[in-house]
Amino acid sequence: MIKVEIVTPQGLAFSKEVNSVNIPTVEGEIGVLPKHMYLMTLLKPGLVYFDGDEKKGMAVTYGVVDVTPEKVLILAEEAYEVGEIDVGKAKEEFETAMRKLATAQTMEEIKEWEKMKEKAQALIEVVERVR
Amino acid sequence: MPKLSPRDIRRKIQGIKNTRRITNAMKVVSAAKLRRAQELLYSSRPYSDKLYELVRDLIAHIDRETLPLLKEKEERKIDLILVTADRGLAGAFNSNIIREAEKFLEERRDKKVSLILIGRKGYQYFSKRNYPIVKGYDEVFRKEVNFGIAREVSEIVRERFVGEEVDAVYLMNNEMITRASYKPITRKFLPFELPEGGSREDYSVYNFEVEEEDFIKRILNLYLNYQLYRAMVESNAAEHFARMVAMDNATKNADDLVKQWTLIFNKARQESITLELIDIVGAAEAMK
Repeated sequence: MIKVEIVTPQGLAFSKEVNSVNIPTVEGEIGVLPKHMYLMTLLKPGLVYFDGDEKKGMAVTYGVVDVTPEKVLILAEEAYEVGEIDVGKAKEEFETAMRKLATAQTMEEIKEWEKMKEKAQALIEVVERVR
Repeated sequence: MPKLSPRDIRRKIQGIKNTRRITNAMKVVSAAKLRRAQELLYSSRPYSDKLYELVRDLIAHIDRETLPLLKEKEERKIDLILVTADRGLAGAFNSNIIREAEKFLEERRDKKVSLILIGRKGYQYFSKRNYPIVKGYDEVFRKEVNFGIAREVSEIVRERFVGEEVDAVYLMNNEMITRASYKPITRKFLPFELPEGGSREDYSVYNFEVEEEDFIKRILNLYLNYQLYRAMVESNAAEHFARMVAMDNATKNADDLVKQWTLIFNKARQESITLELIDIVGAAEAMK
């Protein structure tokens, strides 16, 4: 068993012992079992799921992952139970981001809206994947 | 004091009662806002604790020289980030921290201190006096505490620090000490003070999927942004607490005043009745 904690600025979103956990990172999805090696990496928006069961999962956005043999700590900007995701809002955000991207001028603007687009897209995908 | 007629006194009492109604309403509103602010404060603690843990693990094994944000310098030029409230009517909340800031400036008179002001009250105060101000923020606490501003300010001071425009950055804000007291607290923001202890030997076996230097920089930035955000959340909770207490006192004072003036009113009324009676009795006597 390995302890998984998902923490957001809004509070502790998830804390449980599980057999395995899959995490989306910038380098692709990683699967973590107990006694995993030490690892730190950046989180990508997507689905964190446990025991290989996608139905039991949490959607997360940007953040950091800290893996040790005993525990997995995920610090995310936002985390939602899959059922809690507001698809309408995500779609709206996606539309806005796309519109803004079309007219964005500076690198910073582009970066910001890309981020929003990626996030919204990931949330929509998570909902479709789990359904 | 000129002698007031009963009617004047009654008007005065009415005025006090009206004020009392307002202060009481503000008290109730502040209590509700305080509850929300405290919830936010307590729910944000796990994140900052965990982030702190992560930074501690990470930083204990970093060579200080390689990271510009950790570099200690002789303090000649200093930035002070001061967090105040947007509004007054909160007792000594703003004036206390402004006095604290004045003291800070006084102690470092031989150095060049620039100010970054979050919250309207502090900005109003210092912009009228001759202090160098890097930037001031207004309407910060309007709806919810604005993370964007925390990020922006943190970016500004990081840039100034790394660009050697300043040698140190301090952060001053009101903080809840217990559930029922607050006070101004000053902390060093940059150079980054190493969290104590926690030299986990196994850090060296950490594996980074991303480029290590970039990763560390990102985490430190996140941590600093969050520190600033947390200072604002603390200040916000303390502000509502201070306002609630101030308004509670004001309401109690108004109650006392109403009681006092009611006595005076009764006396004046009694007096006028007595006078009238004397008049009538006197007239009746004269008619005989």
